[in-house]
Amino acid sequence: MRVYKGVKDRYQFTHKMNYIIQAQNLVKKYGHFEAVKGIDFNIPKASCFGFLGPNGAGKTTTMSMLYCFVRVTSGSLSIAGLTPPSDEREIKKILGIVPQDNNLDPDLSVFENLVVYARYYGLSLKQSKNKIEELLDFFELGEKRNVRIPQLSGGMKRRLVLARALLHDPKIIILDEPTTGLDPQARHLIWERLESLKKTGKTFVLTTHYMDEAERLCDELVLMDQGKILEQNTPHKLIEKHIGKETIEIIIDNQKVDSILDHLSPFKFTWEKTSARLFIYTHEGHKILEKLIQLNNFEFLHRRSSLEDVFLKLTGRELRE
Amino acid sequence: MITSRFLRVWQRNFVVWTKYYLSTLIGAIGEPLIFLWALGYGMGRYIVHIDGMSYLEFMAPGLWITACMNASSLECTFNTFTRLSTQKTYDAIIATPISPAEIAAGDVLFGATRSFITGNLVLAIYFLFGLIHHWSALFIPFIGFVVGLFFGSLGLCMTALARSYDFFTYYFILVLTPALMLTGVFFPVSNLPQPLRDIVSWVPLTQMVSITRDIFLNRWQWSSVGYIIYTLAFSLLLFLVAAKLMHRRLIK
Ligand SMILES: Nc1ncnc2c1ncn2[C@@H]1O[C@H](COP(=O)(O)OP(=O)(O)O)[C@@H](O)[C@H]1O
Ligand SMILES: [Mg+2]
Repeated sequence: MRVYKGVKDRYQFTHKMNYIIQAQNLVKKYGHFEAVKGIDFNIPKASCFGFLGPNGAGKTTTMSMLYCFVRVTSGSLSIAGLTPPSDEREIKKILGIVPQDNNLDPDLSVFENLVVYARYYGLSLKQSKNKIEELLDFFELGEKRNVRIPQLSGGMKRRLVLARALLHDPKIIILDEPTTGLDPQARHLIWERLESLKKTGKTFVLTTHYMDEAERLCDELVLMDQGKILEQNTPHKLIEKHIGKETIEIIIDNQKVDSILDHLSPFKFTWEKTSARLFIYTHEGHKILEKLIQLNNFEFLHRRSSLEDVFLKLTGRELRE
Repeated sequence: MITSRFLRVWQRNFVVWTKYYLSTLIGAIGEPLIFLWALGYGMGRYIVHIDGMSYLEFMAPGLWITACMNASSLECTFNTFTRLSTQKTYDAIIATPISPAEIAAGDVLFGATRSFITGNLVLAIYFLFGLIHHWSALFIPFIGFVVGLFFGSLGLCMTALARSYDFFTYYFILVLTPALMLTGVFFPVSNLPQPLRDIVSWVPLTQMVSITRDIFLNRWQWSSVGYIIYTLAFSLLLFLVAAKLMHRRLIK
């Protein structure tokens, strides 16, 4: 009785706050290695919430904790008022999962993959038939219905995994790098489909390391690196806060950086330098541009700041494996 | 807890199997036939009688059990490992309300199903070869199913521990093949030295071989039922271990 009451209270609490997923001080250790180091996040209902970060940041591990694929080491996690691992089965019923790797059944056709997967949710062919047809249409897979998985392109496989995640009409959809490795056409098709699904009131949790994807799809973002959350905000505010509206890239030798910074010292900006470029982040782009034109000594590029600038600034420019 | 959802895993395996059944059946039936011919007709000429039976009569039930054993052993080792590791089919399944224990149950049941199917086919061939003389043989497929549950569960334990396919080569060569040599398939257990004979008599395979032989000869007794229950209980124990190991393997 008490357990039941606990679950119910928590449900009402999350309902009132309108957060469908809440995590506090979430930690995951694999042996001695801490992959997720105590993160907090609250995901509002019917929004698209993104986890942005370089390889190894802990994005997949975080997603896996949400869908009970890896155990939470410590901290608290609540999904629609349910808590893993005790409510594991109930949680899985309301989640649709698009894992990082396509784990489709290679021996089965497109259509059979969906039929067999719907059965795992307790849906018979009769119950799932209409939904399957609808999803095949929606993801433009109708023509491929009898094709086996190894014959599909990367984009088709990804769309099929998306269709598979929607068979049981889940409330929350978890997408772990939905478009990594796909060509631009395939990515745009998936983005359009996700945007139209967003209108149906489902909640999306997404990981990506594509900034354009995050900017386009996410209402709110966290930036993760090395198991920690560095920042949380809307894409727009992240840019404003860390970079300023404008970025000027100056192509320049290392020795000359000091002198140019001297020239620009009257203005407000932050900067960063790589081996061949100086990045100026600012709200006063036009004044700095004027100065640069006056100096007439450098090649430069003026553009709107992007999430990518924030990302590189906060996570550094060295390679990640 | 295991719910009826495990039947969906069985069903998935069955759907995939229907695409390959011909090749698996040819292998499953071919082996006992070759043995039967080589050992029965070939070597059997040099062996006059064992316990009052011709060598062919003595060996046919043991070979039949071997075919059943192999069917579920192959299914729950190589094939399960492919689904677990290479194809990541099970990662996809545990994202749904199906639990690792239910996956294990579906797999063992499917292994036993394959044993049952193989058993029936080999039995039909025996019938054509005139090796079956009694109606009691109709009970034999049920024993094939029990043997399938046992070796399916044991195979699944191995799979949950395996890091690569090589592991199964060891399992087949170092565990299953010696088991066949010692449990009365090729020669009577009574030929074994005393301490070994005592140990072997506790192995369910020994009992299944001897019960099957008794049924073939229409001389089975009610005590046989006790051995079947013993084998089922042993299988259940192995299955629980397998389910635990699968859970540990699948959920990090
Ligand atoms: N099963 C595992 N065992 C040990 N370490 C792991 C395991 N899975 C992931 N890791 C490690 O945890 C870190 C985070 O990985 P992951 O969550 O996959 O990051 P991301 O998805 O952001 O690239 C990495 O350093 C990775 O090597
Ligand atoms: Mg990842």
